[in-house]
This record gives sequence, C-alpha cells and structure tokens, in this order.
Amino acid sequence: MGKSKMFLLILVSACIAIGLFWLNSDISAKKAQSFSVSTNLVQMSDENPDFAEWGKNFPEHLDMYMQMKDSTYTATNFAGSYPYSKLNRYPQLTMFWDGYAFKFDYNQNRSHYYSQIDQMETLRNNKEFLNSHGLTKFSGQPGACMNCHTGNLQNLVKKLGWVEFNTMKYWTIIKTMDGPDTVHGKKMGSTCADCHSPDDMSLRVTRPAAINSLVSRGFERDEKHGVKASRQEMRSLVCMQCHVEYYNQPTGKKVTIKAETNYQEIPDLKDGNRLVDQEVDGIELLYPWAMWKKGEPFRIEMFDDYYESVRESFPQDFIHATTKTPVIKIQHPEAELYSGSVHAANGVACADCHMPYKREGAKKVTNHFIASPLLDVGASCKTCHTQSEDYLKRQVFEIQTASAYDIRSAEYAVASLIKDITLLREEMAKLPEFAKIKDQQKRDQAISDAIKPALEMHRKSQIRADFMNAENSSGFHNPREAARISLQGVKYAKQGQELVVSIGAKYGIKIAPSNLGFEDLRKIAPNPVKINGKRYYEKPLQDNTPKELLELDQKIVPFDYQKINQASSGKTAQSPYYKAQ
Amino acid sequence: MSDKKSLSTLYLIFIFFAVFVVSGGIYTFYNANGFSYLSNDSKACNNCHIMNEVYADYMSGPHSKEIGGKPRATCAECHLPHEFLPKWIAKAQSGLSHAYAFTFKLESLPENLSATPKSKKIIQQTCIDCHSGFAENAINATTTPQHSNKDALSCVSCHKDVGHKRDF
Repeated sequence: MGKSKMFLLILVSACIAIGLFWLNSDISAKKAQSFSVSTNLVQMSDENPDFAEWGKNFPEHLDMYMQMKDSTYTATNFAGSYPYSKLNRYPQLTMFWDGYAFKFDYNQNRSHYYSQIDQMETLRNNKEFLNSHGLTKFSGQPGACMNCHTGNLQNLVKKLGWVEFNTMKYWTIIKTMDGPDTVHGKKMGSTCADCHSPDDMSLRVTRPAAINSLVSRGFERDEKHGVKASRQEMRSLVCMQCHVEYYNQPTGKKVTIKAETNYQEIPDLKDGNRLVDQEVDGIELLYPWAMWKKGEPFRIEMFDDYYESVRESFPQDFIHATTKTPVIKIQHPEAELYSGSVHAANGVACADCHMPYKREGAKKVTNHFIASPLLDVGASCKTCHTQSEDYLKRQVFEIQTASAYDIRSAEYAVASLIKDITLLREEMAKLPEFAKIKDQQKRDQAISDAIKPALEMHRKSQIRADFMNAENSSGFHNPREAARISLQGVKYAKQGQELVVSIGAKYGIKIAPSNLGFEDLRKIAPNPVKINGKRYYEKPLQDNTPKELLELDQKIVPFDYQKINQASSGKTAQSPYYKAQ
Repeated sequence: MSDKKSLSTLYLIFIFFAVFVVSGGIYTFYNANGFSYLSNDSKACNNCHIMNEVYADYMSGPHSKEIGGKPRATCAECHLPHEFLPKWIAKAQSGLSHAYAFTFKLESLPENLSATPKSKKIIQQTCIDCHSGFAENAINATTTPQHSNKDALSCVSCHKDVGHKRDF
C-alpha cells in the first residue's frame, strides 16, 4: 500500500473519529436537556414586577417575551403588530369619532411589550395637541386609561387607592411614580406579574376592574387568584382582564386626589408645576357586563341594555361633533365576541391558540411570544385540527374576508348615516322655526329632540360597526355572531337613513340617502400627523396602510369574487402574514 | 529502509484511529440507546422527547392496554410492515431519517407532526393485517385508493383515537 493511500485512510478515519466525538457530545447535550434545573433562583414578589427580575427564574420565557420587542414589522391581513394608521386604512372611523380624541390617532397596536410605551406616545394622550385641534375641553386622559397598560398597577392601586388611581390624571401618575423612566420602570408594559402569582406562578386575574366586572357576572372573588376558576378558564380570564369593552363609570362621590397646578403631558414636574390636593368627582373603570351572566354567550343587545341602565350617570363617551348623538365608543371586545364561539363551546382557551405549546429542548413550554396564531398555524391550529397548514390558513382567510365584507358594509352604512344626519341638521338649522333660537346650544338641543329616533339609530348602529372594527380578529373569534352584529349595524344604519328622509320630508327638506363606499372614503383618508412640519411618529409608527392591505380592502366591498377566489386559492394571495419592509 | 519505517508509523497511526473509531462507534451507539431501536418496545420511540405527548396519548389509548403482560400493539406494530424484510428496511430508513432530523434539524421541526403518505399507507396495511378477520366487510370501495382516488378513507379517518390523538 502506498504512502498517499495510507495518508488518505488516516485522514478519513480521523474525520470519522472527530464526527463521532461531536455526535456523542450532541447526544449527551440533548439528553441533558431533559433534566435542566434552574440554579440561583431569585425571590419574586409584587413589589418588584420587573420582567427582567422574574425572568431570571424563567430564562426561556423571558426570551419569548423579549421577541415581542422585535415583532413590530409583522402584519397579517387584518391585524398583526405592524403599527400603521388604522384611520388611514379605514377613514370612515374619522367620521365615527368626530369630536373625540380617536379621530386624530388610532394605530394598529404593537405587542404587549409596548403597551405602556404606546400609551405614553399616542396623540390621544397629548393635551396640547388635542386642545389645539378642536378638542378645547380635553383636560388630559385619566389614570383609568393606565389600568391595562402598566405592569406596575398593583403597586399604584395600593399606593393611591382604587378610585383615586382612576381619577388622577395619567401624566400626574407617571410623574409621581417611583422608578426609572425605562421599560423596567415607568414605561413597563404588560409583565409576568399581571397574569402570574409570585408564590407559585399559578394564573391569576390582577385588574381590579376585571375582578369587579367578573363578580358582576356571577363569578366568586378569590383573594389569591382574583376570581375562583379552573386553570383552563384562567387561560382565558387572564387575557379577558383587558381585551374587553370598558368605560369610566362616575362613582357619584367626591375624592381627593393629587393634581398639578399646570398639567402637562411630560414625564416630569417642571415649569413651576406643583402638586396640590384637589377634590373632584370620582370615576372607576368598569366593564358593561352586568347583563352578561356567567356561562352565557355574550350578545350585542346586552350592551344596549347595560348602557341604557346606566344612561343617567353615564350618558355617553362623547357627543358626536356633527350629528350631536351621544355616542358609546367600543374598545376591543375580544372576550365578549369569543365567548359564544364554537371554539369556546369546546373549551378552547385564548392561550391555546395565541400561546401554543412549543418545545424548548426536552421541555414543553407555553409560547410567551403572544401574537396572531397565523404566525404559527402548525403549533396552534394543528394541535387539534389534522388538516394541512395550507388548508387551515385558507379557512382563516375565507372566514376573515367574509367577515370583513360584513364589517365594511356596516361601517360604510354608518358613515352614510352620519353624513345624512349632518346634512339634515344643517338644513333644519336654516328653517325659521329653529333659526329663531339664538342660543346655539338650545337650538342644537331643539333639533336633536326633533330627530331623536335617527340619533338613536346612529348610536346603536355605530356601537355595532365599532364593535366589529375594534374587535381584533376580523370576525374569526366568532364568525356567526360577527355576521349577526354586522348585519344589525347595516340594518340600524339604513333605518336611520329612512328616518332622516321621513323627518326631513316632514319639514319640507328633501334628502337623498347617501351610499358611501371604499373610493369615497379614500378621499378623506388622513395623512400622518405633522407637528411643526415634522412627522409626529417616526417610522414604523403611523405609516400609511401597507398597499397590499388596501388592495385587499378594495376587493371586499363590493365583493370582487374573481379576485377574492384567486386570492383564496393561493394564486395571488399574500401569505397570511408578512414582514413589512 | 526509512521509507518502510515511516510507512509502519503511518500504519500505527491508522490503527490508532481505527481502534478509536470502532470503540468510539460502539460507545456512541450505546450512548444513543442504539440497542433499544433493535427491539419492538414502544419505549424506544419515546427516547426522543418530541414523542412525549404522542407517547402519553398512546399510553392512554386502547392499543397500549396489556394482555398477558404484552400490549395489544406497540408503536412498531402499527408503524412498520409486518413481514420480516420490509419491516427491517422500513425501520432502517425511518431510523436514519429520524436520527438525521433529530441531530441537525431539531430547531426547525414542526410542533405538531404529520404522517407522510408512505407512513399512512403502512398504518392502513397494519390495521388490515390485524383486524381483517372481522372488519373485512367494512373495507369497502371507499377505502380502496383505486376506487376513490387520493381521497380514499382510511381506518383512522374514523377511528382517530385508537393509537394516539394527535399528529397524523
């Protein structure tokens, strides 16, 4: 045998030896994963809810939580966490919220990591901007808005008192908070302690508003876990602390709070700004749930009944600027819509789809990168559904686009009604009967009384369209109820338009009902807000709607079945999610 | 002379590596629980922790119930052909691909596994092998691929939970 052959043999056997060595260490490492135990455990407590501190005991969970920080560019067809301006995508909303802060700023939300940061930065929390844009009476958001945006809530409520916390101004609370001005301090969003008990990491409900409201539905209070519930129920209830419709109920009592002599929406006390005691009307955050009993599916009519029952103490969220309707603004009622769904009926919890189990080494862990299940259909849907991922994604696409047709139809109908009522009011104000009333408020009231049935239709139809727009699943959480709610939205808006025509006719005013659609509304789509010539939000915040999404919306109403069918069969469809930029 | 000497040194080096490869190979085989894969024991399939849930499902299902100290059917009895040669060929094939995936592709494996067409075929055949005695008349046109094309039903289309609940 030659020397060179020998060298080759040695080389080959050496490579195999190295390969074996590596394989062995890989096998041993993977075996060891089955027995990993954390060392250096830290003591967790409510006093320090920082995710970095609790995360020391749960490094994998902290890693997943931190992924939310970087998920900012991921959009799905109807949601995701890419923070484009929803006012730009759905301009009808600027008509819905005329006279309210939302008219100026409403973005697709980012993930839980940003919940407090987004709240601090939104223009809805900027008194100076809103005052100079027609909302002269806006005096600053109350602390109640912070209920679901801070991981420090427990300590704040303990320190300030429940009603006092809700009633104090948002920025005053920020200024008097302990801790640094970082995501580990004042800017901390949702965190471990919001859902977990420090004693044993068991699930718990921590939001006092959620606990009070769940009790109003028939749940039993529990000192440690907020309410008594099984673990599977808790896997939904912890989400339902915040993903709900809510409002600020006046308590009817005065409270003494800390207020600023010169309230400013900045994080520190300066410019001669002092804290003084002030006696004001107390408010508390509450969910309108008393009609929705435990164990029952939610029905939209329960909101009508509830808000009717408190109408004396809480007549509206705001008065619409041009129709003068007392309007209820719906927030993000995921809990309500989901409750009657086929998934809920089968005991599927929010966490089953939004926090599916995944493998970390040999461990099975709940994914704490909380996001759309479309990002990982294999991990979430396929746990129960055995069809292919493509099939499942197509089902979601079908359900969401069908719901989107219903929802957009309701929104366009409400926008048309708003336009018609506004016109009717203008024409009526010209009639001698109303023109002779010199006091503008009295004149407005006289017209409102004359057209009250139409205004009630505005209130009820907008509640429905708003409910479906604000709900984050484009109908997927409960397609049947989504269709019913949207259909009612269309029906009440059309009834409102009939009333506008008939009331107008009574006064000799001829009104042709309007029928606004996608193209009409594009014309009023707002551009990114500029302050002093500079864009208020820096990228990626408040970018205009991604063009793929607008193209999709354009096909939906009227329903372009050829293009939608192509999209659904995968020929032209964008993937159910994509990375913007 | 010196040439011969250096060649013998090379031989020595080669023998050293050869011994290392053989002993290392045996140790690796042992370390990877290699011998368990030669058995018919369902526990061997659960060496890989990604099988934990499926294994737990199997243990609570009817096929794992023991009769006379032996389970009614083990993983291998459903997932591998019953004839000697096809069984060991299939075992070697899936063994190699499993080892490859587990060593190099662990991070990208899906959370919920799906059966391959080949695997589905084997499972259907093994259902028939054991149950044909009394289920023969149920094996009708809808289950034969040539009659209903690729959408043919299989036994597990209806008897979903007999093996394990998930992952097919």
